[in-house]
Amino acid sequence: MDKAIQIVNLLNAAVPGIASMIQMIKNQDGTVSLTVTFDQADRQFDANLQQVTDWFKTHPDVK
Amino acid sequence: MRNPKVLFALSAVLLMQACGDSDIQKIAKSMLVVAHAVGDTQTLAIQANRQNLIDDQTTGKILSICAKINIAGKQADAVLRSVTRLDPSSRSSLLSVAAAIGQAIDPSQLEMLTNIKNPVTRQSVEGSFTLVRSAVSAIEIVLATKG
Repeated sequence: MDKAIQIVNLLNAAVPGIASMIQMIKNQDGTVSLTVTFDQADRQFDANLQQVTDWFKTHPDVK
Repeated sequence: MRNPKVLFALSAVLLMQACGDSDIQKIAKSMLVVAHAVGDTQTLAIQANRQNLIDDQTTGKILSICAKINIAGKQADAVLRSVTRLDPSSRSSLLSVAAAIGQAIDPSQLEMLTNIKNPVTRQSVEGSFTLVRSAVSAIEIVLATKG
């Protein structure tokens, strides 16, 4: 595993951003769906925060 | 990326790492549960507020708690995106995020839910927060058992 991390670090130094590409490749391989999960969670958190902001805008008297 | 040597090295990395990030997967999935549960809580509170089942002040407190969880959730996602496996540093960061969510839904913070007079609405909101708490507990267990 340590060697794997070293290789990832070397590849990442040679091609910045390759770590995220690895996640995408894993996802296509069907073994990992991390990228999709992260994106879904992030989108949901963003939508949630927007919903909160919108409600407080319509209720300026509430702190 | 079409270089066969790079592809071979990449394949080797993937094979070696295939078993290494199950913890990250578990946490990522739990964070997705948190995201949806918080969204459901907010929508429930806002709809109940429109129907005058929850007053404005209590709705505001519920949404403030939800906002804290959403911000913490985004922080957790950022940590998870930046690592290929959980090291002590990322574990520590994620534990801090889990603690922040835990504090936000601490029973003392949720005492104001007693202001919700409609029992069905109150139980629904409490149930949503319980789901968030369960997902966070799952994250804490993953972080604690493999530290």
